[in-house]
Amino acid sequence: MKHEFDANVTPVTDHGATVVVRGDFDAACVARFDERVGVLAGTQHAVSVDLCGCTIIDSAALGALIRLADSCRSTKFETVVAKPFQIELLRITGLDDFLSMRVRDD
Amino acid sequence: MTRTPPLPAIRLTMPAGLAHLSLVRACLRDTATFPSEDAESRLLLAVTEVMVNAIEASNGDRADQSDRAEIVVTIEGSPPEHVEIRDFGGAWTPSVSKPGHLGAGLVIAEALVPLAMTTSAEGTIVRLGIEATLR
Repeated sequence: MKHEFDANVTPVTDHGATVVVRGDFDAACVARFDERVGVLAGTQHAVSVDLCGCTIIDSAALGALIRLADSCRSTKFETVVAKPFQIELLRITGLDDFLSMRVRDD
Repeated sequence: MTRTPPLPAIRLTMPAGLAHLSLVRACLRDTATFPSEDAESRLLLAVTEVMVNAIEASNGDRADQSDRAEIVVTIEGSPPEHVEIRDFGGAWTPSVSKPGHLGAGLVIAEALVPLAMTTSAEGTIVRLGIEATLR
């Protein structure tokens, strides 16, 4: 289902890890997200979170992304977005810099 | 010529729990025709943020105890023009920072959709004007 939440973490390699998040990422899904990305806590490798497939990202989800970015502080962290609402959301909350937003051209 | 009478509002009364966020979104996705996927995301994100606020207000400092409180979501108009979200958690006060809580829900909702809030000792009603987003 297009709106069903899912978060997949690719195995960590020397090039880093990618978290691909899809569907409605809201307060009800934060615990599942935290559980999935728990393997990345304290990693020394780059972490990229691909949010392009998200149909909703609410403020609780942003809180989860902040926690993940904090736990990866010693390495390169970025979030990848593509949709206009995703870009606007990170800008109006002032998180575009903190979460190292990168806009992917689709 | 007979005129089709307006459809009555859809009123959803539900336990104040996060598990029901997707139910309301599904109802809106089913009843509204969105001009674009981006418009759909903006509107449903605003509704989600206001609902989470209502759920938190209903449950006070307790965790998500959905068996103890209710919220009411009303979808008015056909196609939908307004969404009203009502809680019974007492007068609204600006949220105090909680661990893991960004505290930006209402700011995000207001940036995406026009809304009006009425609060009293009984609870809070937030009315989101969604007609313009659906145009």
